[in-house]
Amino acid sequence: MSKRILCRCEDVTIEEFGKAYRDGFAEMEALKRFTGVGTGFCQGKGCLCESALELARLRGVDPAQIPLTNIRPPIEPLTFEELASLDLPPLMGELEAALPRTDPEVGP
Amino acid sequence: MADPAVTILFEGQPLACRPGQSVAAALWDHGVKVLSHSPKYGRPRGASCARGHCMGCLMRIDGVPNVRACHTPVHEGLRVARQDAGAAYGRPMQSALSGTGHLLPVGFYYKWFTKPAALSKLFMRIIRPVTGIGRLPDEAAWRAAPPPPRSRDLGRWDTVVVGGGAAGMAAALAAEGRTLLIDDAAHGGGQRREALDLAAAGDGDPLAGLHRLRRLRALLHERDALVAAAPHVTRAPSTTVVGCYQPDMLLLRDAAGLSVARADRIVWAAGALDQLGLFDDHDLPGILGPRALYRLAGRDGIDLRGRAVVVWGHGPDQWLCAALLHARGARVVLALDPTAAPDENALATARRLGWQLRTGLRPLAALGRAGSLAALRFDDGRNGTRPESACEIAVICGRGKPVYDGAYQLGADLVLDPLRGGYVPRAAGGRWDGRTPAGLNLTIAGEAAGATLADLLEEVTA
Repeated sequence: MSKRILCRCEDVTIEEFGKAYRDGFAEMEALKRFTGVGTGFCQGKGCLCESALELARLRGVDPAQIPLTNIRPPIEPLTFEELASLDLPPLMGELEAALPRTDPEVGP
Repeated sequence: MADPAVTILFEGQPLACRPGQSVAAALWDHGVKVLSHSPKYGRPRGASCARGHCMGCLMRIDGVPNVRACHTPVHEGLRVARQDAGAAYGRPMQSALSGTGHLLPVGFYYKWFTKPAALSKLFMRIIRPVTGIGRLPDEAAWRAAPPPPRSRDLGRWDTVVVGGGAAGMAAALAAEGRTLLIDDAAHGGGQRREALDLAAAGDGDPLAGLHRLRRLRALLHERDALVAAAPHVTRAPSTTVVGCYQPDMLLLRDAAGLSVARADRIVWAAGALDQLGLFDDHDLPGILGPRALYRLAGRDGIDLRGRAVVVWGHGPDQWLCAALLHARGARVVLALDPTAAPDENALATARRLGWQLRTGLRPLAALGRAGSLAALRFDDGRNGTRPESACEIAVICGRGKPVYDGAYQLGADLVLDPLRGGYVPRAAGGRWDGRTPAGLNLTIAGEAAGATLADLLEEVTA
């Protein structure tokens, strides 16, 4: 059965995206959470631009009005083993320095 | 394929392949293009980006699930299997979902029947075997694998340049102070350099009449040589950016593990991704973008002799793909989109090398057979006619999509501009050059800033 796939990782078709919009999910952040676009393995590399353009078309607005959704690291797939390989002491030092010294939960 | 020296096991069957090839390319050479099936509709998928982000080539390799076959080199005795191979009732259920799946909400498989616990457990037992991605690594393989090496601190640099293409090399050469040049390719000179070299060596000298590509080749070689000789530049080949942290830190990965680098100035020149457009069934295995072709036909050297390949689109990448395919022995069908404006020399090259030339076309649908591409159907702008072109591979040479993720994480102000390919710096002129809110000197340059290869070539000629 032929389909136009907007997001490959989560298998979202362009029709499903349009239906979610008509059901009232009118912002990219909401559409991302509801349909799953941008939340899969590729983290939006294959679909976020395409989805934002489709939303601009559905709304009939200039694409410049569709802001980018938040893209958090990592942007490449990592295993937990790799994450655990990070030598954190230098980074932890900075994080500790950034904490308020008087916070009773953290201590001096 | 000369001197096959390595044997891998694909679902128990031994396959001979060339050392140095990726698993995805080795399977391709044995006619296996369907490497996985999509999670909801069970659609056939294969190596599509050859760059490690499209998910089409996730396979179970040496007992570990979700490994990217396009990024994994073959070795003697490597075991590879599709993750849904042997799934309890995978295929029939997937074809049923393909017809009815639009009635099910996205993510129904983890959103439904979460309570009570007994029902949830039963539902999971039924639903898990459908997708076939849920098996954990083989315990023996997992225990035998050495732990990854500890991460390294690469220290602080005056400038870190992300991207080893034309724009990244130019930025590294112009930078002052100690400069680190991060490139995900093993060789220098950008991802098109190898393709240009291979095309130039093809029968009948395919680049002879393609003057812009010859200039590009000369430019990439020249910059690569200058970078290699520049005492202030350190190259980090085969290195990818895993994340960017404000104000000034990059998390990197290479064969030796993770590392951290900081910089007073960062140049984001990470290039663009292939953009395949949204025609029917454009996710069929066999449909590639130019950047994927450069990797599969260049680095991986897949066997293309006698294969029919449609190269659709416009611009220098389309002509480079055609020349590369010709050099590799493929039968080239050059399908120009309505905006393409090739010069007389290029058209003469196409005629001289016997490429089939079709004009004024837009792709409408991919037609498949046995799960991979068999033909591309076009709209030729005339009412009612839908010409088709039989092909095993279609290369879609559209507008590249600027890579924005790292620039966004560092704090760049980006705006969606379809004329520049996607999310690009808001600044006029298509280039960001300034301070981020967190105080970093950030430059976004080249294709990552929305420039095209054609823009670059004009700049060089001017």
